[in-house]
Amino acid sequence: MSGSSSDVVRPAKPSGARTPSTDNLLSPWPKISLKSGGIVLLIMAVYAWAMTGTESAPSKLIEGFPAIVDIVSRMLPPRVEFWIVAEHFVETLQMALIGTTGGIILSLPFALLAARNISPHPWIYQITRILLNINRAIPELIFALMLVAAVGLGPFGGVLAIAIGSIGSLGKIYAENIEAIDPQQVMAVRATGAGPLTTFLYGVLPQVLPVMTSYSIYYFEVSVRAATILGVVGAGGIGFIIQQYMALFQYDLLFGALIFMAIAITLLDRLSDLLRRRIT
Amino acid sequence: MSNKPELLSVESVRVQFPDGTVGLSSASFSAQQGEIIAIIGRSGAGKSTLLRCLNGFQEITSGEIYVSGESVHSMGNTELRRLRRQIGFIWQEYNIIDRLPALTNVLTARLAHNNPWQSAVGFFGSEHRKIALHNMQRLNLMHRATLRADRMSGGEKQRLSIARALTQEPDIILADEPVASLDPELAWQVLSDLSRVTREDGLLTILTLHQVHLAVEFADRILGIAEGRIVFDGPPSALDDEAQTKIYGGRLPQLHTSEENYLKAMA
Repeated sequence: MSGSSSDVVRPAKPSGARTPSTDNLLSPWPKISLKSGGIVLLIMAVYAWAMTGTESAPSKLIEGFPAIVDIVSRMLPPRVEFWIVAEHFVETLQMALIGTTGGIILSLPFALLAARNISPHPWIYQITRILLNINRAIPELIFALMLVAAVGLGPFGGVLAIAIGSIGSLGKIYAENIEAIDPQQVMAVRATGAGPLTTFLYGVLPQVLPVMTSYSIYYFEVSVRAATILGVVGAGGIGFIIQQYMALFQYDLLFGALIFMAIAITLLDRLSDLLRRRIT
Repeated sequence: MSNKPELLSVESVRVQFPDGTVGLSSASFSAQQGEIIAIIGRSGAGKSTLLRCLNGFQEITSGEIYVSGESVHSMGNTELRRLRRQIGFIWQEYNIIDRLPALTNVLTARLAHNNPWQSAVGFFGSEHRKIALHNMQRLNLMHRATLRADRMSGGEKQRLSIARALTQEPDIILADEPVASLDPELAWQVLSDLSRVTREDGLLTILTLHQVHLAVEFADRILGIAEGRIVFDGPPSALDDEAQTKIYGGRLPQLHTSEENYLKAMA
């Protein structure tokens, strides 16, 4: 075109939206539209539906109140069988450590297949994602129930339950870490003529290793919390003690064990925080 | 054949992207060992596309590219890896692996030479380390050898990526806007370093540049690209107003022929 020059500054194209009137913009009162009113009604209906479904009613809470008071009074004052509780908590930590490490190893191949940018084929990517989601939908407790039946009572069932139960979460988060890398850095390694394995090791891995390590430490914390409950179904650790106290109606010892657990897990969280902050 | 084939020969190369836009239409030129060629042109003219065709990162729609007499177009994965080993690439955004130390970054250039299983465990023999350190020394980076790359400045990173490219012991260096992310003074220094080392090694160097005066200063030969076509091919002295009009469509950038004038104008 002869008339146009690239130096001419063109005004921005007007978008489709109307500019609201100045009167409207100046008014301090909120505008309630038919749509927002409808949304509020809908949300209220959902709550009403859920409360009926769960038979939640204030009257029931009042009826049950004396029993709650009774249990709480039997919890006080708390007592702690320190060495017994400590020993089982250490076992819980050991379960979480071995279980999480097993989960990390098991989830890595899934992560490689479930990362869109390095997965060998879109179908493999989709199938792996579905498998990871199925795994995530099943709680560790269910795995523990099945595995205790298979390998017998004791902490090893718990270790296996944590390892298998963490594949879904770890695999998904690792895959997302791999998807977030800078592809240019990978391309630079590929441009040297490096093969697929070494391109991964020198282009991809250094970029994801810090964030993966950080997340793995965090997941160890999550596994400790998950491991506390596994003893309830016979898979060892502090949950086993808690289960016993409940069975014997020793609510004061139960409360003591819960306090111990709360303090120990808080300390662990702080420790893992400090550790993760050093990883960059 | 009795006479040696040209190091690089580009014959009527056309690149059409999947969305239908034409990146290059019928680009032809050939180049010899030791030449420094600057490709200039407006943004989107096809400069980067041309470079990426040369190491097989961009598939060509038609035409032929020969490197040392071998057709890039017909190469399989193994041959492409061998080709890329022969071509060092320097990027605008450096593309250094941030979390690896400087020396390890340079050693990645030996990945295609080293046994992959040794590379996998981080083992690079002293013959590889010698080449890497020699090139770091040439670019004055020895004091940075153990520093993690994300602690380095932009100019240092670009010198590091030059050292990495040289450590491949390539025949050709391709540099895509190597100084576009640097300030004028650093840009001058990096291009001085790049042209010095590639001349010393007698490498064919092809770089894309935005600034015409840098092309005039550092290149032996200039290729002007406009709308996917090579519209100028000649020495810097032949780059007159008419040639620049063809490349840039009427806007004539000021030429500065010495570092002093250039920096004064940029200040």
